[in-house]
Amino acid sequence: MTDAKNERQIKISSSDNEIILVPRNVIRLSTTINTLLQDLGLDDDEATNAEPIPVQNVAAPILRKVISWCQYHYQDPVPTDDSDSREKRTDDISSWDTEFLKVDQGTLFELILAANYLDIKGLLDVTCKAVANMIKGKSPEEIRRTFNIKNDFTPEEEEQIRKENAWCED
Amino acid sequence: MCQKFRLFSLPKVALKQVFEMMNPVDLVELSFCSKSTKLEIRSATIRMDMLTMSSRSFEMEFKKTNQLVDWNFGKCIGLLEDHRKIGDARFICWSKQNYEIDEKSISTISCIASNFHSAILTIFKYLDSLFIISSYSYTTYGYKNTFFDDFLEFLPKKCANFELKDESTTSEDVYKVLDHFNILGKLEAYVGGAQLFLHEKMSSVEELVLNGVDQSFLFGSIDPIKLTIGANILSDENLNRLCKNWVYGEKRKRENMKILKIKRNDSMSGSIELVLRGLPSRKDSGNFYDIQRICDGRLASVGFTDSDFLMIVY
Repeated sequence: MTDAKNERQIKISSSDNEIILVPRNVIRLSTTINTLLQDLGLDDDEATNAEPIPVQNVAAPILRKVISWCQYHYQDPVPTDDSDSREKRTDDISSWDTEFLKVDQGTLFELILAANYLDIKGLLDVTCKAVANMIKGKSPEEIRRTFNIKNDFTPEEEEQIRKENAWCED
Repeated sequence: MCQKFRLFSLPKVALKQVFEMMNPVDLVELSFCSKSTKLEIRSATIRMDMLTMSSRSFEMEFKKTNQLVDWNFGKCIGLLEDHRKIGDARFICWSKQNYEIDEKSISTISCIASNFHSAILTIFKYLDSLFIISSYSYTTYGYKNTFFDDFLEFLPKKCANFELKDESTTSEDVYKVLDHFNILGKLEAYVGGAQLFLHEKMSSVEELVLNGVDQSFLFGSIDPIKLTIGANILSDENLNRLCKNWVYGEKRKRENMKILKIKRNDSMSGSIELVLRGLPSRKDSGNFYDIQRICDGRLASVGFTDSDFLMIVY
């Protein structure tokens, strides 16, 4: 990995108005910001943008975490359409990403929202894999507990299931 | 930020991605959680490439994720510790396993249905409503009568492959299948005696593997890519006529055919010279000869192997 510190810096601001400087090559992973920089002609300028690019939907703690992911992965090969259709495994999360994803469920949720809003494909992939892994091997009742899913079967339907399965539980 | 993960509050794109990354068995289990979870999965339009229905199991193939699920209704692994209910069908002794073969992820659900016949149709309908299924395959081995009496009319017309391999298979069974389904891939049927005749819907099938056929299969208006004829009463004269029709006939009659394989029988001498009598031909390699179609110059190699008459079109 080469040092991204001497690259041109881009100024972005979080939803809670914190301004963060991020190397141009690092934020390239966000298709949303990349497109914005190109469309606004800010890519022609060598200097740091005076007005920060607002990232309205992402608060500073999550934005910093997203940037730390981008800083580690900014030299990864660019995903292609072909790689999108190849097998999607959930057991191939790298050890760095595994550590990165050791967060509470609320943070994981916010990271997915941020990856989706900023259009960072690799981050969206790995966070979605983490969610898929949370469901792996669980029974419906365990999944309900994990995600607080309300059982919307009517009491009559539930009673019917309970009665029919009663002999299994003896 | 210590709160439960709000799975169904995720943006649709992310939720679909989570679903696509999940093991299909987990996805089925998730669909059992509530009516709305099933609806969410259904609206994410997750594609299943092939659903194969056989006597006591379903095989579900997901090519994008290289995953295969074998859902077996007739056996029980492990303790009687779990159960499920899907619609009106009840399943006891529900167990799951995962393993890998050649980088393919294989998952199994083993369960016993309290009413096997209604359960298998219930599961079929459930999967059909949960996933977008690209192709269906069926094999009737071991439950042919049940298949025709109880299932056939409820199954979708679209069909990739169909196997009729029961010893008791009759030509009427094959016609029933062809009347109901639009088979595009492979039809494999073993019918005793030379009692199977051409059916108009055979013309759209890419590969036919048939027993008990009459001559019409060689000279009729079907044009599969691959035609394999098992036990038969075809003779050298029939094969000679077949080759002559191919050499001198119109292109459109045999435009698709690449491989023709006919099992040898006692009426065949096994002499390729007799089969090619009256036809221009050139010795190729071993016992095979090249013949050329007049209308487009296309070559075919014909000859006998130990067990078959073979025609390969180049």
